[in-house]
Amino acid sequence: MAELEIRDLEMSYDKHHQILKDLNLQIKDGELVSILGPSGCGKTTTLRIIAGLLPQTGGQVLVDGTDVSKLPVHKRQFGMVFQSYALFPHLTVFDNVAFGLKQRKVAKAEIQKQVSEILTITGLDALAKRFPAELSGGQQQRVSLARALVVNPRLLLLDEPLSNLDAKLRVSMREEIRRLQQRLQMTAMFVTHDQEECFAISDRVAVMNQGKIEQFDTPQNIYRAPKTVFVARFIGYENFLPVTSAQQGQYQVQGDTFQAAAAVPDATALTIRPDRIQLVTEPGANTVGGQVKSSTYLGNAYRYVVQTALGELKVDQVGFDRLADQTSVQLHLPQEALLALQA
Amino acid sequence: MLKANNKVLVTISAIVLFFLIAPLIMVIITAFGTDATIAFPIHGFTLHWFANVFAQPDFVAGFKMSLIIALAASLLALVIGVPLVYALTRYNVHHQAWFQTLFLSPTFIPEIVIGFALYQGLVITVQLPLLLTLLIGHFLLCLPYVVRLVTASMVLMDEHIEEAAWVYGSSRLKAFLTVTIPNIRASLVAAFMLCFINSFNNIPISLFLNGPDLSMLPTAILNYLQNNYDPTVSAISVLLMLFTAAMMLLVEKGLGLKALNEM
Repeated sequence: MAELEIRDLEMSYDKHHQILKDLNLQIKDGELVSILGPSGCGKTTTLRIIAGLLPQTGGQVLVDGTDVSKLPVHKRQFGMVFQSYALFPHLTVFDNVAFGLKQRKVAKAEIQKQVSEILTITGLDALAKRFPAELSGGQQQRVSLARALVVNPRLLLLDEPLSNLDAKLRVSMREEIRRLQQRLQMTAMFVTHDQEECFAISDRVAVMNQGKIEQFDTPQNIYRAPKTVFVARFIGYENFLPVTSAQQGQYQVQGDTFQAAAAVPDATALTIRPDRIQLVTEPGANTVGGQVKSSTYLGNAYRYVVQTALGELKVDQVGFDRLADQTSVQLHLPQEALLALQA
Repeated sequence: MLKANNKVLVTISAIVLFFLIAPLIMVIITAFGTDATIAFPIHGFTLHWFANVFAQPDFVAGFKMSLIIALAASLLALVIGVPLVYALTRYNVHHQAWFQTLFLSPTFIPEIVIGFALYQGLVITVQLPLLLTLLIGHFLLCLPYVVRLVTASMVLMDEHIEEAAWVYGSSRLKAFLTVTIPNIRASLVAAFMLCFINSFNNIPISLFLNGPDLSMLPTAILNYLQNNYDPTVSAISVLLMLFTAAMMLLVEKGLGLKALNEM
């Protein structure tokens, strides 16, 4: 258990192409931080550098204030859960879990005790004598987790641990990871491209894009107030209005003026969730007229695509009768729901 | 899918089996014949030819030498080939494909050419000892089997498994020995078997690299056959069949033939 700090981390495979640029990140003791981003954004590279599996080209990785950059991977005393589980195929479940303790020359009786304990916690007692090939994907990932937890790692690294599991298992497994991480008070870093998964288990989330962290905050704040167009798009915002000029909370969008929740001087776009747009009868402030282009029944609401002078907007409406295509509507974008975004 | 009782399939199988097994059976039978030349069918029964095998110093010495060279060349090919393949499959080596082809290239060159080239280049020009050159020749013969088989299993093995071993406290060398090797064991056994059998049977390379004091079993048999056409050759063929069968049995008992089938 420890604190992790990443300072000005840089990575490049070929000197020309920067994978990571001046990456800074701090994880507090006992905190679970996720790195969220699309494939190729550098999140796995970051994790592998922290683990010591890749040498960085610049910057430092500090654990409890000590730079571990020069420390070889087998001396870092971390735990890692891989996407492919990476269990040792020639060892039983028990020996897989005991592997790390054996390397640390822990006494045999002590190994027996600690491994049995962790197998009980992770619900694997009955499988101790099986080999990895005889286990389901979910069981294998559980073993992988047990193998990481039993060594009481200074830092627990999880590299897309759930992406090879089916949807139902993914939900129960992420709850399990969260439960164990909290119970054992572990400092953990979780890498994923799944927004829902990462919001569900993280204390804080770093949204990453092209080797840079675009926003680092609690899931609630990121969801409520994404800072950049990329973050908003990645976590599911769909309506984007290009801003031509911004002044003190007043934004010009193709000649119309809108007021948004906060003043962002260098805003380039406004965004709003489809369910926060209101249908009104009269034109007014923060309101734009348009025509229904198409509609889809979503179960709890109708999703309309409305063609406006500012572009297409997606609007969700609960409880109304379905509006016919070509119906003229007025859309009110409430100031508190309209968010200004940086590039 | 073809059905098991498919007539064409059954017929072809029968023909193949016949051509494969019938000559072997004939060899076995002729080994026990009393005629002074190899004849089929035999007249009378004797074990004289088996005794005669052991009375031929060329055969006894040749067997020992072939065994030593086959073992040494196979082990050498593994000791050099496995780290080589490891480097090629786990590190970002420049011109990787080129190296792969290079190490497989002994397969593409006719063995008779390799034998002649080694004789001309190493024995005549560089004056290397014959035994050492012979070993080099058989090593070249073996290396492609190691490269092919071990590359296949290294590529199939998830490299994160080794990384996991490092993360949990194994140095690279220790992880290689305790995690990588056990997981590519099947291909190591298969490679060793193929190396051994191919080296032990080899004539073209050995033909150029033998001398008065250095005789290999296959070339000794060939020499013997040129001067004598008696059933001693049949008898030693039977002994070699038994020897090979015993080797396979040993591998099956010791490591499980499953290891070979997994390849």
